[in-house]
Amino acid sequence: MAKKSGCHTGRALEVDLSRGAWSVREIDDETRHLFLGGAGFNAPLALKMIPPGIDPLSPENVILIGAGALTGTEAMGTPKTEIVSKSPLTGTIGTALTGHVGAPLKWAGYDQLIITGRASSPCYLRIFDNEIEICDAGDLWGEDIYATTETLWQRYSPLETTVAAIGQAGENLVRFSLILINKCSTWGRGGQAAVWGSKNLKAIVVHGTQGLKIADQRAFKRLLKTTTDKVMSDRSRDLWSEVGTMVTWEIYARMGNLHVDNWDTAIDPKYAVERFGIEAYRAQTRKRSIACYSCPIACKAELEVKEGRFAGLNTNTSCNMVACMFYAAAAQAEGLPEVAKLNDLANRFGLDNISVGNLAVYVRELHAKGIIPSGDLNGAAQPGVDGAARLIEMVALRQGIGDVLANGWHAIEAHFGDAAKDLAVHIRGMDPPFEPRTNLGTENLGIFTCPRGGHATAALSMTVVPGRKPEQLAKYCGLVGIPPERVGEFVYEGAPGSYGAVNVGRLLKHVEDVNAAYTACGICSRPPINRLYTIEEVRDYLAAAAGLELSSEDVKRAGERIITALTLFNLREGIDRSTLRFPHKWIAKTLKHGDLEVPPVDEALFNTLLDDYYAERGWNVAEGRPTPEKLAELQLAAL
Amino acid sequence: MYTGSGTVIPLPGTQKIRVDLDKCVGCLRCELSCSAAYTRTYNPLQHADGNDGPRLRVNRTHRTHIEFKSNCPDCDICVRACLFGALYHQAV
Repeated sequence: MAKKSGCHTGRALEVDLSRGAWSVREIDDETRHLFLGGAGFNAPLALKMIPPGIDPLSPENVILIGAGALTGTEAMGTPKTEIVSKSPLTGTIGTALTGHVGAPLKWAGYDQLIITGRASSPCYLRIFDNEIEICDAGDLWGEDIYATTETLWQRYSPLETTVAAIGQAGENLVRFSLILINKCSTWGRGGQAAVWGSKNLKAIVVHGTQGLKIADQRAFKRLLKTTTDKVMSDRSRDLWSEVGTMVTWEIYARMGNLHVDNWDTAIDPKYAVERFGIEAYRAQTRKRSIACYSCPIACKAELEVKEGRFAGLNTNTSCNMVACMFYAAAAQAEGLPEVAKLNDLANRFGLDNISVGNLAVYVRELHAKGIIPSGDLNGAAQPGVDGAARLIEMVALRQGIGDVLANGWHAIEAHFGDAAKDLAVHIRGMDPPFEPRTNLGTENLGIFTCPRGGHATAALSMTVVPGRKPEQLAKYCGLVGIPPERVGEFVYEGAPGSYGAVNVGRLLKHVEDVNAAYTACGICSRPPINRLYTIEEVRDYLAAAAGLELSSEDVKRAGERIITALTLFNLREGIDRSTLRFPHKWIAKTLKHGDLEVPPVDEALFNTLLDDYYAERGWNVAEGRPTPEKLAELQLAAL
Repeated sequence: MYTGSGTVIPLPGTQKIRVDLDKCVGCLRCELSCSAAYTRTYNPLQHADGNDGPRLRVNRTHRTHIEFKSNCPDCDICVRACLFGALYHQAV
């Protein structure tokens, strides 16, 4: 099979764990033009390869791993690689992103990795260029992620392989277990590790030395120069490079975005900043920054606890702000060393920090209301590091009531009955990171439209911070490809919602489309990376690096196509707008934020905004379903 | 192989590139740009055959060292690619 001239390899590696066989299939030019790369290649293939109605933990589920179009090149901040399978947490399409697997996969000669079937005993998959091997993992099964990774690094030393591994939580099919790559970067939400566990797949080890070519090196270098100039003139870069996502900690604390007691009360901002803020982070746990491939920011970090009970603890964090959101706020850890300890435990077992934190506050409330007796919890409902550590262990190892909690929100509600239902905050089975009462921007509307359930990344925009001015919003509309003559339909006084002078529902469609297109190219969603690129520059990068001749409209249209294909997967599973449930706490309860009582969001407002969103998509508004005409327009009719 | 901060890399005939390992974030931009210049591909991990591939090698997994190969021509491509100050030139 001939290699492409640009930075696509044009090849997908397909491994059948049941038969122990592998093959290579071609990714054709039409697919490259319509779906751009990685996450885009995955979307239509998930529809074709994953049979409708299957149990996500059955051998019929398929794992798709797609590296971004620009991943593996020098283009800055473009490492994003998406994993897809049917999610065991939500039953929807499950997607998650990392910055660490795609580049070596492409250097080995593959844009995409497809894993089917189920191995008869624990195994790991070794991909070293054209050498593909399904290896025995009997000695690794039962080990935590850090130990597994170190063992595999050592086994193939001096090569510095990339190791993606699951821990005991994935082996035990915990439905919010995660895959950790190189002991740091996550494929985090939706229980992808449980799918690996169900297939007896402990790890994937990748090493590639085939390299990638650039279609037009001279044009590519010119683009790199422009992007480098933007990076070096970004005044926020130094702080991002030093403390990563902790840049946003104080903003979120002041917004009331960090709940401490199951979405009833926001953290005291003064306490949050003094105890967990940037100064404390520098002094107590930060050691040094870690970057994904070709990243100019390096927002991940190596942590080292300097004093106290956990002194000497060395661990990594993929996003310390999220660790603080869910361990400092929700789990009420006593300080940053305790946050590091819980992050370390979750990393080793392989659990999603967000879901653990949201579960900790939920369990605490069920316990306070007498729904779970004390004896069942063995201290896991206590605020602080010891309670949360106990909860992590019970869930990861399925001990006692942890066996129920490990099955995720749908199963938990079914187990504890109606009394527990109104207390649970999740969307389609996935608990969210943010909340809409304090700020109803695209992120917090997007958790209701996101194909993978209640997560916000796909809908991140400038509205993540409240109070943007109309002129800023109008300018932003241009950045997401809304033509000047239509901006007045998006930014106007009296727009529905609480955000301000913008129709968040209509804007969300364009944010999702652009973010999906960027993700397919491998571009990271962190604000300092995302804002490096305009749609036109992405178009130019795709031409120079991959040899794709597209218009900027084509690029954005690819994003629309990806979102639509992912939604088609859910519709096939019977998951449509009629099955959407708004969390009771958000539509019926106030949030205590200092002296403020932040009111609930009227359910009718959510529905108004969703009506506008689906109308802007040109879909059937009542069902949230693409029309046949829209599918034909997007060249998706065959799906 | 050189460890620690501020180590001078004694390249043949010159001593120009300095390493500040504490500032290395493991992004591999140095190896990417070097491989593009000398192998015409982005191929940072191509180290198996001695002097092939990029002329320097970052220990990415544990960041304990940055190694320059004997065929490093002491150009400044890797230095220019590093955005974190982990590689820098010092006049001799």
